[in-house]
This record gives sequence, C-alpha cells and structure tokens, in this order.
Amino acid sequence: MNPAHENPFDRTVERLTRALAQRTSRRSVFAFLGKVMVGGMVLPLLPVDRTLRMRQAHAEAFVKGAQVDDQTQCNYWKYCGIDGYLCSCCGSPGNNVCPAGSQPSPSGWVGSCVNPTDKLTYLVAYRDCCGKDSCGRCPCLNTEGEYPVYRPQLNNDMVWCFGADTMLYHCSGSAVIGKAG
Amino acid sequence: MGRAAASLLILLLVQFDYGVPSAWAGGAAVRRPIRPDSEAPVFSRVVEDYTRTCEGCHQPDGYGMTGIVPRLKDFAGYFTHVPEGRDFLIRVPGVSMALLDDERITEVMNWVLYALSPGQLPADFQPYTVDEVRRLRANPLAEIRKVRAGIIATLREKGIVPEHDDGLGPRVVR
Repeated sequence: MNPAHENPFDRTVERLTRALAQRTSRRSVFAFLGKVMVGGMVLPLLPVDRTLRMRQAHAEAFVKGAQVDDQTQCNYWKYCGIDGYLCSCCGSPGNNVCPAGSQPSPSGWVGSCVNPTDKLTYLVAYRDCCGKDSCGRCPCLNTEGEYPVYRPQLNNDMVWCFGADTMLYHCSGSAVIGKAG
Repeated sequence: MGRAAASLLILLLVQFDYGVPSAWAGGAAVRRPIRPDSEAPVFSRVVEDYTRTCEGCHQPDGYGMTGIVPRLKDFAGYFTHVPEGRDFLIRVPGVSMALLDDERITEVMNWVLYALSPGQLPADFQPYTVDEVRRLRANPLAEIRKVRAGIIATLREKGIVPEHDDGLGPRVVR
C-alpha cells in the first residue's frame, strides 16, 4: 500500500479527485475556465458609471448629518464639498455673498449636495472670496465630490482666486445653481 | 433638422435663462441671479456635464477669463475651420482628460459649439463623432499655448479670425 493512503487527509483528497475525474470531462473543465476568463474580462467593460456611484455614496454619508438652518456650521447642507473659512462667519450676510472688502473669484468648482429636506441633488458652485487676508473663522474641510490636487478642476485645497484681482484668500461660499437632472 | 433646432433652443434657454447677472454680491464677473433654491432650473445631462466639468473656469456663459481661460463664447467655432483646429479642441487637457466618457464629452463639445459659438462654425460643419473624439483624446496635446497660437495664426491668414481677437486676451502678472 502506498504510504500516502495512510493519511486520512490524503485519502479524502484522492476520493474527491477520483470522483471529480469520473463525473466531469476535460472539455467541461475547459468550458468552465473559458467562461470564467471571458466573463472576468468582460465584467469591467460593462457600462457602469463608477464615478457617479462613488459620488452618490459620499452624498449619502454627508446628508445623514446635514442640516438646513444654520449657515455658520460645517454641516449646513450646501457645504458638502467646502474647504476653508465660511463666509457666513466672516461678516457676509449669506453664504453666497462676499464680505465687504473682498470680491468673489470668477473661477470656482462645481459639485453637488443632497438637500436633506427634499432629498434632491443640487448642483452647487463653490467660490472663494478674495482680496482680503484670511478670515480665520469657522474652518471646514468637507470633501464630497472632491478630487486630489492632480485634478485641480475638482480640488478644494487650492485657493480659487484665479481671475480675481488678487490671489489673497479670505473665505469660501457656496451657491445652488441648479438641480441635477 | 427642425427637431434638432428645437432641442438646441431649449438647451439655450436653460443655459442663458440662468446666465445674467451676478449671484455674488460685491463682484462683477459671475453671471448668475440670486433666486430661491426651489426655483433652481433642472439641468439637462449635457448642461449638467458642462457645468460640472467646464464652467468653473470657462464660466456659465463660456466667456472664460481674460488672459487665463480661453473664451468659448463666439470663438470656439473658429477652430473647426481647419483640421488641426478641430483636433485641437478635443486634445486640450480639459477635454482629453475630463472625467466624462467618450460619448458624453462628445455631447458636451458639440453642445459647446452649437450653443455657445454657432456663428463661428463653417457652413458645412459636421458635429464630432464619438469615434473621432475617442481617437483624438487618446493623444493629448503638449505645448498647448504654442499650438494654439499657431492655429490662430493660420486662421488669421485665412481671414477667419479677426485681427483684434485671439479668444484669450493678454496675460497679466498679478
């Protein structure tokens, strides 16, 4: 007797292997492997919008803790992608108005936030107010829909004062510009 | 053609209804009105794609920023008069590297041309096809300023771009 058969583990493996060999043909194995290989290659090609799914996942996370009343808090719903000092805390009458002495930058980036009241997704433009020293009040760092700095169009760590008279950053604000379709 | 023109008109209304004047008190450049969120317009897919991907710099109405961001409004169409210009519009980084698939960036670019710069298109203009855009964006441009200046010079020689306008304006040191 082959010494291997004395080991119960080996016996079990041998039994399973023989059973598999008796019940399946080589062709069926190739067919199965073929399906796995082709299927595995096709799967990433299916038309799934991953960026959108990721955005939605982030949106759901922020909206859980969001509120619609207090514009001086980081969890105000329109601030889901804001990074900087809130203009609402810097003497501005609203989150889309620059405080006296500063001017809105013509450039900015657009993200989207979910309003917790009506659960709709709104496109939100983030803009920096420029031309005055840092406000320093109500710092927020929300990152919804934001990308690392190698995607500058969608990055919020940068000072978005391009096109303004000076690059001096004062505060950040947000404005709803439309509903996502 | 009638249907295409009608849908184009609707797109224009969606865009420009919301274009004037400033939502940001204390400054001049941003052309959006202050209105309640509930009255915010619902964007079509192509306008939403433009808004998310392009308008932060090119502006809602496509006017760009003098010296920094080229103007699309009443200008982008000039490029399509020459093959290298037509290619250029897709090979610039903002388009070739946009986070939109080939089909959607094709839609956005045709929308930009028809909605923001129809008066500059040649009479026989053919919209971009998805295959064309796929091929072009796989080959992004280096030395964009140089290539752009070369194309503008060619268009000037042909009398297509007026002498006083390069769609960008002078760069200013700040």
